[in-house]
Amino acid sequence: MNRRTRRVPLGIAIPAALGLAFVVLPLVGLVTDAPWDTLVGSLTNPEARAALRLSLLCSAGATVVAFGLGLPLAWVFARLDFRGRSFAWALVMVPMVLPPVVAGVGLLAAFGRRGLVGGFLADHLGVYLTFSPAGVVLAEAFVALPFLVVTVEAALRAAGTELEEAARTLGARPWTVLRRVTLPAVGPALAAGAALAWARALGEFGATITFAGNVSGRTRTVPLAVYLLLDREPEVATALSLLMLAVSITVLAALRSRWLGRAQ
Amino acid sequence: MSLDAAVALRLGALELDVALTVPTGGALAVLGPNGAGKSTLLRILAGLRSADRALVALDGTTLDDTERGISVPAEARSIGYVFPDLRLFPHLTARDNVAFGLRTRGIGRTDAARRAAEWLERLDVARVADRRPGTLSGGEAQRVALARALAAEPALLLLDEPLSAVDVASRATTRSAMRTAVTAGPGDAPTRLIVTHDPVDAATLAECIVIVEDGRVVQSGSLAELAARPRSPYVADLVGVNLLRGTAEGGRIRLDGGGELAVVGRTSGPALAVVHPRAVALHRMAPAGSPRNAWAVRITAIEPLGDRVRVRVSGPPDLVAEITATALGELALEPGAPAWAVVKATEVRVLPD
Repeated sequence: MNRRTRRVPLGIAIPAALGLAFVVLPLVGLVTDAPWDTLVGSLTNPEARAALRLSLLCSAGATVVAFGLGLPLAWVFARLDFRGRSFAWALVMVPMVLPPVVAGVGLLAAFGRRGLVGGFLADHLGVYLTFSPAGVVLAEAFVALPFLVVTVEAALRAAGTELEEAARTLGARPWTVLRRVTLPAVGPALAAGAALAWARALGEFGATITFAGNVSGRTRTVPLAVYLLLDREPEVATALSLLMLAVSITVLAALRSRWLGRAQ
Repeated sequence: MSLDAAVALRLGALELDVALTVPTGGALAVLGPNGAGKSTLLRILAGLRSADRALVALDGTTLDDTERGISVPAEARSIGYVFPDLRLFPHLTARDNVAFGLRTRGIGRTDAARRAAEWLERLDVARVADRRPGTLSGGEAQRVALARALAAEPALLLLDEPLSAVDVASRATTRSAMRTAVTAGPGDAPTRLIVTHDPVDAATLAECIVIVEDGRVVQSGSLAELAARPRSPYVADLVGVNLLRGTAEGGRIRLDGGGELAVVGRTSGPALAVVHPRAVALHRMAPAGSPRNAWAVRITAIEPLGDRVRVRVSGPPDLVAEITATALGELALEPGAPAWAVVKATEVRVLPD
């Protein structure tokens, strides 16, 4: 039977429509509630501008970190077979399901002033990660990493090893194979993984506030500013929220063809 | 100088154990049914797969010696490989695909592009140089893949079912283009190893044929030699003759598959009887008189073959008969029908097994 002409039972149609409304209503609320006439003014408010600037810098930094660590991890998971592979994979996926606040507590225990690594960094190198933009990057990269790893790993598996073998018979050493054959083959997935990781990093709240704190201009990213300003200057908070929504929709639109392609 | 290889590998149901030698500049075809281990053999030679035991030397250089723990990585072997699925790089143009092997060996960008273009010219596909593999026809893609494998002037060229991606209509022209291309380069022609299950490919692309079945070499020689004395039902089927195995004793062969075969001459012991399909006559009724070889059989398949027809019958013994279309019409035979198969003793060639 044709998918489009199929009759849908009411028991499915009604909850499905409710589900759609449930997702759409808050978005509609954001748009209708927005102080459109003061929007530009709200976004150029010093507090908002500082938060935006910090968010852009830190999320970009987090994406770079997630990329640099996630790409090798994805390659290892897709190409190597070793003892404990699935256990290691599960560990890397933990930040995806972990409550972000717990992630922040964990980061404190590792990289905080008295943490496992943080203590060493502070005592010997004078590097303090908490309450610094670097701490924000760390917190965002932590939660974003698994998104990059799953996306790229799936693409590497789908690409297979056939082309890599062909490259080897043509004299390509492992690094050349990676650079000239493997990475071009998974290029679109790299972009999609980076976009997902960036979107996740941009929205990070719990781990950031727990680990890096809420210091204006240093660690107060857009989500933190929205939460803080909701009482004091609600129109600025709404304007920032609207901007985040626009960013999310843009990322989704960029990934749309990929997701639709997978669903079919 | 030559390629000398002896490899053994257990892989699931496959027990590969093959030794072969190809003189430098020569061509050997490895022919066998699917799953015989032919492709696995090539993968081991290319260094893409390890073997349980391997001793491979190419022109005096050891590539594999499992006993001494030597295994040259794939990228360091002077080998060109044409895969059955070609494996052209989809993100590179035809020219860049061909230049790939030159670039990895340290040849500059301009020089590599020029030499790649020359190879495309030699294979008569210069017109597709700027196109991506996805837009090429099967024959064009095959020629680009061959150009890519030849461009770095390997000492050994491995061709795995090289014509499988080519449609039947352009197979003959692609095949002859391949034959000229392998010797058309500026250097010496590479030693070739061709894996195929098409005897025409084997006979046209190589001087010598090795038959591999179930991981073992069962026979080798030219196609004419294989046809003259096929040593397995697969080879017999390949060259189109009936092959019956049994034990000879006093002018008769007791067939392994059941039944007896009267032959001329007195041999004894294990024997192979070769019967050309044209020597098998078919009758509807039990033949009059007393031909010494007559069996009640059943028709299993009828295949047209030009103005003649190949009729497969199940016995014992199972046979292929080749009769004229007219004779088939007169006999009014169809699959499932009973018939009598008759072979004159003088038409049976007996070989010791």
